[in-house]
Amino acid sequence: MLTFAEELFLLALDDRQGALRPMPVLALEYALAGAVVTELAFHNRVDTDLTHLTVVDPTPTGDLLLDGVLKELAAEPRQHSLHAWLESLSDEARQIQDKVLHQLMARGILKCEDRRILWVFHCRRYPLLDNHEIKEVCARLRDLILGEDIPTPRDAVLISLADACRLLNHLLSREERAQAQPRINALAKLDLVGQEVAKTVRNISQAIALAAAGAP
Amino acid sequence: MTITETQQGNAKVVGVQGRLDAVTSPEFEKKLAAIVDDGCRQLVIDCSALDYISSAGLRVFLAIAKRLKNVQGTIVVAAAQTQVREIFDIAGFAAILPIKSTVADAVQG
Repeated sequence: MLTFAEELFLLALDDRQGALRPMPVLALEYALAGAVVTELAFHNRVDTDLTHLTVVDPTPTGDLLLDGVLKELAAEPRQHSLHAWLESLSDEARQIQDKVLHQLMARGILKCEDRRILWVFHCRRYPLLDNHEIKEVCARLRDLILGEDIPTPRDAVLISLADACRLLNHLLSREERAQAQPRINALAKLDLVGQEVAKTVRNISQAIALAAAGAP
Repeated sequence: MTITETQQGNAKVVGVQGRLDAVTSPEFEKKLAAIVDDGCRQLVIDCSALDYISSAGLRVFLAIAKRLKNVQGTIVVAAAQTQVREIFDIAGFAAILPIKSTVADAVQG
């Protein structure tokens, strides 16, 4: 089974380009931080509520990425809010992203290609080797959004994080999206970590828009 | 956390007392899953003595609601205290399961 961070990364990857899709500023950073925190919650290592994130069991999970973050969370003597931890972990999003990429390459799902544009500019691409996993994730989320089924707790998390990154747009036609928007909003609310990620991304976008509007 | 079980008409009323968090949720989920597997199709969770619910607790309600829907069953949350009701409201759980003010309302369906 893929982790939240792996599924989110595959949703964020434009298969034709082998590069990340456009997303709101810092959305992927916060969503990956949220993905790791939630994965730890599903391993019963941490728990969250409206105000705090608590480490309930510091025992390593055996997953390198999760255990690095768990160690960091457990080492902090003071309790912090979920928002504060997401902010702190989003600063490490580059390292999280690199680890997720390596995991996906190790699973044989994508590969890394270095290319040059105009023989000068170096650019790195990640073409899919096996699109079975991403097809399965997309089909599952589409069925859930367009149907009436109750999501599994895992799918509720993924929808919430993907919606914060505006990645569900790519699964639906414009008409479907318009029709399904209330259902997407309802599903995205079900996970409190996803809600916090979405709220933060929204605040950042609003701050940028305000700054741009006020610029001379 | 303490769990109680009573039968009221067709409904199985499960009372949960104390805190529902990452520590207590696995036991609660195991208990509810066993009740569904035993054939219960109308489940009422009496939350009147529930003091606290975390994300882990919410996930139990989601998982059991799905499990019950798969067998044409229903789950109703009843009599939640203000602070617990607020969490259900913020997470929008009313969209997937009924939330009633009293156990009697919940049992009536």
